[in-house]
Amino acid sequence: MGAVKQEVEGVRTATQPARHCYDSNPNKQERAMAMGAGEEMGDLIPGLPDDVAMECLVRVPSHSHRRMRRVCCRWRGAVASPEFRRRRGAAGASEDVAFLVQAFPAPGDGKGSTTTAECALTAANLTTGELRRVKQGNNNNPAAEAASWWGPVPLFAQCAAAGDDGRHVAVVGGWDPDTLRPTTGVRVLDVLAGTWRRGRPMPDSRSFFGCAAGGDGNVYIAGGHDESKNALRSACAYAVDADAWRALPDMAQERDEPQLVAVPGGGGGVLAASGYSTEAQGAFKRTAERYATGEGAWADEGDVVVPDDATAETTCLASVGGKVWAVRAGKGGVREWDGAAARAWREVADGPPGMEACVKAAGVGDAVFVFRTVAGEAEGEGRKYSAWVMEASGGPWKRVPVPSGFGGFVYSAAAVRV
Amino acid sequence: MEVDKGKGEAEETRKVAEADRDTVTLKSSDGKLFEVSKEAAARLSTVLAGMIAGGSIDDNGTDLKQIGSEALENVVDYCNKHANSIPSAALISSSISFNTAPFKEPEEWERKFVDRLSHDALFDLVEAANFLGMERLLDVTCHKISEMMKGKSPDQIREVFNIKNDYTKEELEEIRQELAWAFYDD
Repeated sequence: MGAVKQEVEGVRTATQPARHCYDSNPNKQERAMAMGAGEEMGDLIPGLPDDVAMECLVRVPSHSHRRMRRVCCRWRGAVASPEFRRRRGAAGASEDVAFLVQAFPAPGDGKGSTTTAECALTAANLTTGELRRVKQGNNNNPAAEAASWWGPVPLFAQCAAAGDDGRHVAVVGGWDPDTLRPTTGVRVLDVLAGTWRRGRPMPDSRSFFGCAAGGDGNVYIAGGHDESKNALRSACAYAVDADAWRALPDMAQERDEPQLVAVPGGGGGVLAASGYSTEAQGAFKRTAERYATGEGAWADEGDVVVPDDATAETTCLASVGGKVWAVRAGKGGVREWDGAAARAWREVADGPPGMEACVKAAGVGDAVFVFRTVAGEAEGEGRKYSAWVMEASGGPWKRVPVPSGFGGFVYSAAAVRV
Repeated sequence: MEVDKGKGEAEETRKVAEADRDTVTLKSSDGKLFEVSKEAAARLSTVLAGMIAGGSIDDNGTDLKQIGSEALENVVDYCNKHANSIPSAALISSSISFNTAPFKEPEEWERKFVDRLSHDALFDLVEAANFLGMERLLDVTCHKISEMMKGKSPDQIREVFNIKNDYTKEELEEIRQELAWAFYDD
């Protein structure tokens, strides 16, 4: 019988996908007991092995997670654990959220005048289709030091996913909405815990810089202009986990308003594309240079990184599934950069239907997310822009319903899987 | 063609005869016997597949001491229903979902199958599915339990699942502060 049992176990291990760690392993239970997860703390769900209970918990949609954390100590720990996130992925229950730094009308607006809009962080859950505004700071805790510091998201701030496990969103720089002067502030959202913290400020003050997650957990910023409107070549990187900035070598070219995307292949680093020099305001370049973490220097990526039949302003670069994509309106508007081999673009798909100009493109999960202006639609708030997604593996564009109040310009986007 | 087909059938019959039966008999902890299609059992349960492959199936009833008769009846019922169901195109979600592994929504009959179960029967079935390595059934039953949590207040969840609130007042206050942001609704 022992031999048969062994064989059965052997077959089980061989045939079972990794997604469920069925808990018939006594050692594992012993370990759990030792860790205080035994009788003393109670089961996650009375009457179920913890492993199975966990499989139930991970299938609950993210908008209930906050309430789940308040059920009991063990649920709180479970929902915050890396294991929880991993298993959500394995169970196909993950949700892809695009965080957007977005303009929204200042309170009391409505005259249609172009007075300064405020910016806010929007969480666009592409899996459930829900769009929500993310509150800034710890508003329920006025005693906290943070209360005086946290205001609205600075105008034109940039954001990027950050941290080793990509569970953070860093909101970097932008203009103070009251003084209209650039800020060096950094605020970091832990998406899974739902908490904000204040990050170390940027080492220098700059406007309209490029910003992107480098695929290595770091947030890279490059280019932009200083307070005298000089286009910049300098760049730096922020490590969220260490809360530290480090300077990078200068780029070869000045790049004001560049587009940054993670280097293809995901080795860590960024591609800084387009932008313009001090002497040639608004004349966007088609060149790019790449900074690979391993090499520690910028290298020329070629002079056609922005596709030829489009102006750099209306083409948005995005890192999609470890590749660099360009998105613009029209036929063949979606392309993939084959940098290493051909230094050429490969057509992937047409631009989203009815797109006038691309405002922002971002890789979110295994899809590309596009926020864009719509041709022929009224310029009323909430109608001027619309959002679309397309799976990277192909398939049709699908429209993401944009509720009223979420139709403002998108300055920056970051993707987090929850 | 005709000849080939006939030959194939004869081959099939011989094989079945060799293996004696095309069902397996399972015995619950309380000694009740249940028959289930060997093919379905092998396809849906990694553990039963292993036992069948390893020849450790007992014709007089394979002992499953960890599973009560009600749960085992549900397992067998599920296997039989699954064997008869045609995979539905509804598995492809119509929503704007872009995960690598699109959530495999339970099919209509699976939903009905778990919806009719009492709380205890559902829990027993989850455990049985877990024990037998029935990935799909575990998926469906865990999904059902997760739906019982969705949209409920912490109090309601505690009541449904009989969970003790072990937070101190201070801890609750701390959590209230920690979660003082508006990403998720309340």
